[in-house]
Amino acid sequence: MASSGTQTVKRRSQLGSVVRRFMRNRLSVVGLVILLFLLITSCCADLFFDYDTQAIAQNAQGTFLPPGSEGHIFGTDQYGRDMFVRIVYGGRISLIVGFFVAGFALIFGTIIGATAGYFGGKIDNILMRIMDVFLAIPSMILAICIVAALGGGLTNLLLANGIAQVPRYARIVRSSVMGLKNSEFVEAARCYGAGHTHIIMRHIIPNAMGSLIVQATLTMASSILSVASLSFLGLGITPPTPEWGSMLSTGKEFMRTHPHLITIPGLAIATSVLSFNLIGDGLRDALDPRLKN
Amino acid sequence: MKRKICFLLCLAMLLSTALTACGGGDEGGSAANEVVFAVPSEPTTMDALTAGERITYLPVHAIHDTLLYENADGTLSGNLVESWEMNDDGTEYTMKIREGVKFHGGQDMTVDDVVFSLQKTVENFSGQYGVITSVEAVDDTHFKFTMEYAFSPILNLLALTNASVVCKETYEADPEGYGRKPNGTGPFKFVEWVSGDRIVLERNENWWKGEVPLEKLTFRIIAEEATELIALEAGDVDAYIQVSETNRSTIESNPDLKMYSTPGGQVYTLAFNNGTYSNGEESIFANNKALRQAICYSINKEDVVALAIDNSAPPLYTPFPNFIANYPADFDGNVYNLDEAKAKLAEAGYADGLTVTIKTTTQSGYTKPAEAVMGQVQNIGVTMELEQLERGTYLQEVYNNFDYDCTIWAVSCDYPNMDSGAYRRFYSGNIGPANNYMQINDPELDDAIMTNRTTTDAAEQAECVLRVCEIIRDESYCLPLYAAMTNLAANADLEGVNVNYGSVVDFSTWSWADAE
Amino acid sequence: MLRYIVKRLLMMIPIILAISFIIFSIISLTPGDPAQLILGADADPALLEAKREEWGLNDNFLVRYVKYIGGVITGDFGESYRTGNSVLGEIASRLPKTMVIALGGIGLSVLVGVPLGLISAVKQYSFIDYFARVLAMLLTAIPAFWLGLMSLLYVCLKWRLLPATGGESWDGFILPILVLAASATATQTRTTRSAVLESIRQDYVKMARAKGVKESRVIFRHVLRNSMLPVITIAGMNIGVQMGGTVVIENVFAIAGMGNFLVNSVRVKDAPAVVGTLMVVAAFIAIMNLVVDLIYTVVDPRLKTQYATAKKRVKRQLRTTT
Repeated sequence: MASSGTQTVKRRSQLGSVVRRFMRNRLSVVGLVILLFLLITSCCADLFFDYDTQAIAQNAQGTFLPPGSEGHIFGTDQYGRDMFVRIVYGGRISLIVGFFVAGFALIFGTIIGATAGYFGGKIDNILMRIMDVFLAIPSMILAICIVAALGGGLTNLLLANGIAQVPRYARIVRSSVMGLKNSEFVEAARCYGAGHTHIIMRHIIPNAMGSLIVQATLTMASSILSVASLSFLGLGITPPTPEWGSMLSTGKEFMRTHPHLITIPGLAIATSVLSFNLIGDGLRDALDPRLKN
Repeated sequence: MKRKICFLLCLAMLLSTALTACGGGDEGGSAANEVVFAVPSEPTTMDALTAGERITYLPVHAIHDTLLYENADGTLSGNLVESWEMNDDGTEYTMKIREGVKFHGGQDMTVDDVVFSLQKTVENFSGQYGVITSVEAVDDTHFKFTMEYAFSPILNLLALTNASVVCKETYEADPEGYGRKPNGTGPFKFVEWVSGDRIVLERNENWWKGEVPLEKLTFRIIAEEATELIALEAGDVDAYIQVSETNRSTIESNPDLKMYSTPGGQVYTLAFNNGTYSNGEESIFANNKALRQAICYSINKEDVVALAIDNSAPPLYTPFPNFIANYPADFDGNVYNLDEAKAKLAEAGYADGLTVTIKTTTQSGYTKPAEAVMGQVQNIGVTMELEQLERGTYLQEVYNNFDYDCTIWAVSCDYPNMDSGAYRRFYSGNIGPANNYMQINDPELDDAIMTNRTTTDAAEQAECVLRVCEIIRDESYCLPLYAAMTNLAANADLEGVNVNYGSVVDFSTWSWADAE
Repeated sequence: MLRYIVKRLLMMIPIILAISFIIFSIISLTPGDPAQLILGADADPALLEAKREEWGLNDNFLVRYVKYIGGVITGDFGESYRTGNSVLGEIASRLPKTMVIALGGIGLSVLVGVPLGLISAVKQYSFIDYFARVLAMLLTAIPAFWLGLMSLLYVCLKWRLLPATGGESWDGFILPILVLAASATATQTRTTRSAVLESIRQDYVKMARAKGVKESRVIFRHVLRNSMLPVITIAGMNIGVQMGGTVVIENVFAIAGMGNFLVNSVRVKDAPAVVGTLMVVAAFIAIMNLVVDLIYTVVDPRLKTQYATAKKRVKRQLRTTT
């Protein structure tokens, strides 16, 4: 197992240079800081707030308080619920949406793409034609059809967006598998008797990881926006669950009289999408071997 | 070469932006004597004999005339029918049709057209009109219809949009196509229907009541209310219906706009499933009066009204809107009492609280009261989980299969009589899809509803209304919350604007203030 | 070349058939009765039954699909349950509006995004570079319907520049196109910038500069031309995204286009309308992708050898298509 030992050493140093190059990109670091902040606040929300009494319980006496009111920095919504608490908890759902959709598409896309690319022939043909079918419909429209048929709600939204993203990943993985499967190090692995799964998982996938990670950060951003659009069309997450997209689309009813109901969730969405995009850009540059200096 | 192309492209861009800035301008407002009326969804048909939804009724009603006309005060007067007589036991009416009425296509309206239309309506809407057993012509100007029993609100039914007269000749030539090419006798005639976009009508010069002021009436389909409101303020449209309460202040503070509101016939109700699910199991609320009472007692309707409809309508303590005949104005239906609610909950066997699901569609008109109710019942430890369903799934699960614990739905009152809401929703004989989906089965209630239907004695009817209110309150089969306002916003220069409790608009009176 | 195009077009057929089957099953096998959804909750049972019979909803799902697809093959896309009109007629009246918005959005994003990306790359780290990058970042991060509603509020109401509802006159299309183009422009700018940055570092650029070629010529002849491939790829990918985006935009601006038709039809489970629309959308996207592939061959002559046909015909073909 000496070979794998050296491999890890090499990979670590590679990782180190990627991190170094990423950290040099100031904008991307800002994105990372924002994302970490969002992650920490939404994970630790329970330490500071109580979900049932602060994010869900209604208060008919204190509706539509403007931002900056006493005790409510972001004001309150149409049911008198604190907007700040709801934004914090909403971040949790939005981040789950982002990570789940990207994760789902990554896992299934990798399995399908790797199988297709590695085995080639008929399997490749069948799998990729199926992917072509899904790619032929814009992902937003596919998601609308799935959600409209199955109904809204978090699970269906996650599935609809996830399924719509799988073909992209399958294509990326397939093309890098095709490029690598005849390379020398794969030949070498085959020589010492490594199985198909081992070769795919240990030798081929790691080499495609860079572009997959970049794609994943972009998917996280786009799925948050896509859930917001679905909410706008009335196909979103069920209230009273705080979710930025549905807060934004229920708030649109009050956009004329109480604009903070749409500006605040709108800004939250924009900030998180922005941070994912910045990180994606930074990673792309950091992982691109051609940009090594 | 490349540079030239680039330059041309930049020039084109600049030009287009410049044009944008100059164009547009003050184009707002429509031509004289034209009204553009925005509707939130596309009407499904122009066929008066199958039309089934409020938005669809708007153009249908402008194209067709009904047999009788319901005045703003709820009284009835003749329309296409001039006069009528009732036989002694009230089961048969003989009516005289108006003479000299012409369809838009030029045909004269005959007694055959009237009989044909009414027969079709009875056939298509047997739930409401099924009490009519036969319709036949007597002579060239008279027809009669007979009923199973003396049904007192029948004349109200003949003033509804579905009781309009269509041209038999046109209809029979192509029954399916009629919905896209109607031929009625109404104040406006059909011009064109641009699918998904607009429906255009123009003035009927030969209308039997005389020419109407408006030359052209366009229904513009705009799904987003935010867009509708901006279009109204910018003058792109002149009026729109189903204005949400949140926009009231914006409209009322704008001197160019005017809001028309009338108490609506839709009673938003927290409905319990009083029977069994589709799998034969009993609903949690069936045969558990204490539990139903606990929920009803825990809900402060003042709060619900504040949260769901911004206090635009008062809380409702009877199951009916206040404009029905014999409305019990001083009925005491307020049962809000938290201590009592907790006691009832314990009596029902759920002292430690329970969780039930409340199903609604995704429309905010239903989700908002549902969310408000959810907030209220939390005070006694009941958790309601909201399940928002696509409309199709909702209708299937709740309306047809009864697979729900409780729901928010509007019990609609289409004519000013208790019968409209009660017979359909509370009468045990109507348990079944799309009617009494709450599965209320109470002989006393049935008796009161049927007596009201068959008696002509006003005092007895009043007593029936009171009894129904009491039974619904005491047995807590459902909890009426409020009757939402019917709102219409229009340009302030429009005169003669009207909207009734059933969202029916009579466009024949509309006119522009500055038109000659 | 022609053979290649024909082959690509033939390949569309099984994909579109598969789409029709998948969508037809999703629509038909999930709960919800089109008759009741269209006629209203309180419609009379007798009327509902009559409609179900008329639309053949009482048949087995597979029987319905075979009947439907049989019709499609003979050119009959059926009638929409909801509107009662022929689906093809509905699509014919709506497709132009959607095309104007979607293609207008793509066109605008290329017209603005490519020059902006180019300038931003050539003047890397300048003010305009930062400005372009930040703008691009912001535009991709804003939900389109929010941008749409806000622009309605300001452009149409406060400043009274344009009509609030689109689709009636030419100026009604300006705002929808601008809003739809926002995020596409941003991706276009970013892609162009990175592609140009990459090719600017190449040896042949240094070589050209060393030879004393004018800077503008270096940029346009050498750099831009060599960074066109990713730029075109993104423009092609944006077509699909734009088609999805029109759904939201048409709703905001009340335009009776394909997206609007699709959403309203999906809501009432109007299977012929939904499946018909999606087949047309898929075909449209496939054709646009084909066009993009053909443009590749013009931009990168190396690709042309793959098609192994005469150069001239390609050029002629392209001149007629673009």
